[in-house]
Amino acid sequence: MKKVIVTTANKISSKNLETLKKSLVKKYGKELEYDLRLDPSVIGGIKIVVGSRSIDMTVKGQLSQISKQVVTKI
Amino acid sequence: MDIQLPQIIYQLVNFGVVFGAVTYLLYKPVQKILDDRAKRISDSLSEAEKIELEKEKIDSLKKKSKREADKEATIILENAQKAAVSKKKELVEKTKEVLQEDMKKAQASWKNEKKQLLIDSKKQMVDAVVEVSSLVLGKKLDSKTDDKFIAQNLEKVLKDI
Amino acid sequence: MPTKKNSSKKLDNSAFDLKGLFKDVSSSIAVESVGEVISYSDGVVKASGLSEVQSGEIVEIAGTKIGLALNLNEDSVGIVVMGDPMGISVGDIVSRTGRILSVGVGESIIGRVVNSLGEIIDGKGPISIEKYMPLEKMAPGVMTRKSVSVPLQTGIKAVDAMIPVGRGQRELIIGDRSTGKTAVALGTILNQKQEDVICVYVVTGQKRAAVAQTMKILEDHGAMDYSIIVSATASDSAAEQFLSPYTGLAIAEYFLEKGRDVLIIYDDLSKHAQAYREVSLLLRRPSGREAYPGDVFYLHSRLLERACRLNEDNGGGSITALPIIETQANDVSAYIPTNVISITDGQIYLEADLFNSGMKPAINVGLSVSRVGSAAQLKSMKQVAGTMKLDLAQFRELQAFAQFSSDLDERTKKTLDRGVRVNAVLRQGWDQPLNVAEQVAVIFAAVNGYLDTVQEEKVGQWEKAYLDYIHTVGQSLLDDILKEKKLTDPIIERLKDVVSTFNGLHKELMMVEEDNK
Repeated sequence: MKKVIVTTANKISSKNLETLKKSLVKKYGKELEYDLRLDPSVIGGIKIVVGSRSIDMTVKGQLSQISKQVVTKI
Repeated sequence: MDIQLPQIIYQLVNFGVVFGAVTYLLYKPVQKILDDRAKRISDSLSEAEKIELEKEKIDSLKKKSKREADKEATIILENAQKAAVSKKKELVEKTKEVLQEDMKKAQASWKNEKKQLLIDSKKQMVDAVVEVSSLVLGKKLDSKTDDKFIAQNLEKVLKDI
Repeated sequence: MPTKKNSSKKLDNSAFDLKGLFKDVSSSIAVESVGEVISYSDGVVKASGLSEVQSGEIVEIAGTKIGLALNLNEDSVGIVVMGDPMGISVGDIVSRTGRILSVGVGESIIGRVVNSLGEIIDGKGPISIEKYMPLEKMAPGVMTRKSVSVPLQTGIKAVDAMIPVGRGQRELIIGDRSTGKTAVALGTILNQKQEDVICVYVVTGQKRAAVAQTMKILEDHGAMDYSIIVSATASDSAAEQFLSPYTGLAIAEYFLEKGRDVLIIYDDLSKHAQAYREVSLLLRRPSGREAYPGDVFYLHSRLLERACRLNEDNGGGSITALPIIETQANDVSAYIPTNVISITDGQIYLEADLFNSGMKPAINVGLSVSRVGSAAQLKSMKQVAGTMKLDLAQFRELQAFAQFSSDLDERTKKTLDRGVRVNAVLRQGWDQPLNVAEQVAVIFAAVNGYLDTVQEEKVGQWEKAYLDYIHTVGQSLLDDILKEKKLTDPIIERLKDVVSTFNGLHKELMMVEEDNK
């Protein structure tokens, strides 16, 4: 039973959720448990954690990545 | 007058005997004693001469070794003086070097401090920029924009996950 | 962005070009391998997930803290937190960095003080990193090595004469507390001034005040120009203390690869083993003798095996290791001391009794050994010190014997007198290293009887005055000794002359003569 944590700033639209679920089922099979979390501090976008893999496409996450990249270039 | 000729002859003979005895008994030993004395005196004189010679020899030897020692001492003194002069030069050079080193070190450390200050201030500026951007974007995106944003990027996200 | 062009010529335009920094940034989506903190206790974090983490990898906890993934269990990962563990909460995200533990090194690290992670802690600006050296690495193979033949001059007469250390050797400095182990190590660093050897001084588990003092001493003697200090003091986490010798070794290997000679001093490995024991017990690894984990031997052997001398094809550099072990009550048969003694190529044994009776450095020449020996000794030194060890051994035997008998025969008395003076010549201030030529001159005078007329208590003064004299009058002689590398007959004659002249000039140091000598 793989746990999927989806974090968004606003409630995720059903269209987006369907696209998401279809893709994940293809990759990980039907045994998926979804945990939809709302976190306004991420400003926008979506963050998905499946098992021990995570992708951060939130605005906040992107900003922190940018700042990390820039700081290492200094 | 009745000269007592036999008495004179007897006196003469007596005298002769005494003279002969004295000469034989005293003269020779006395002569010997005198001879011995003379010999002793001449011996001690030659001894004194020899000692005198020896003394002169020792004196000249002493003088020679004193001269040698003096020479050695002057050489040592000269060497010491030369060494002192060169040591002084060395010290002056060394002091100059040390001062230069100190100056270089001070300059280098100042340069490093500046570099560090620069980096720190740049990092602070980057943080500030990120803060500002997140403020500009507001507390959160409105639903519509958010949806569009998510829809746009969902494909990319799902490919990698 | 306002640029400060006019304030100083050194600040050039691009230094303040922030816009340019942001130019090449791509908004990429990165897939991270993550886990979650399940529990935390005593500096060890247990995390779930992290299914792709590698052992020994650096991980980030809650984005800001660094940890080391040491225990990979079936359903959790044991992570040792480096640095301050305050503020970790259950559920914090732990992410991989993909970096196996490594330290960034460059030429500019010389003269700096770093911690176990390679971060600068002396506040003098950043170093430009040229290469990342891994902390854990296989030791160089058998075919890449060369036997030890070049001496490492410690500047200490007792060591260089009778327990010579070569470049590429591992020589253990072992003794009780306060016997001068650190002093021997620091003295060796001070003597490398003219020798083109980089020194790395690794401090594990000591007081910060002691490290600050050491740094000041090295700076005052100009030794920081060729030294690096790696510091993991007593208040740093056990993981940092356990990693510090490996950090030092990684830095040394950077210079080894460039063909340089490096001297690395581990002060000290006893505290290192204790830190490792702490980490292992917190990770619930099984404990063995004296509660040390089962691989405490491997901990030190893999560290010391990487000290080597490479052959010409691999650069010809060398790493000489001087580990320090502190024994309790002179017990060299305890667990950790026996381990390290069996790994190193000899030991310098310091005794508290000698230290207290005024013999400094308190080296017990009888129990100290150098398994590389005279292969790493200058020929001239070999010539003068060849029989010194034997003579001192005989002297020690006679010494014990002589305390009970008052009427000694002439020969025994002579041996005793000679032995006392040769012993006295081995005394040395820890911060007064002597170079090889000076050592040869002094030891030559001692073993050839030129000290027999000097008063016992004045041997130290004699030595000082003699060295001054030979520097002013006989500097060319010293240079020749260094140049020729062995004592030719003319050099021996000149040495004899210099010593006898000096003895003649300093009657005040001589014993009062009862009869004509």
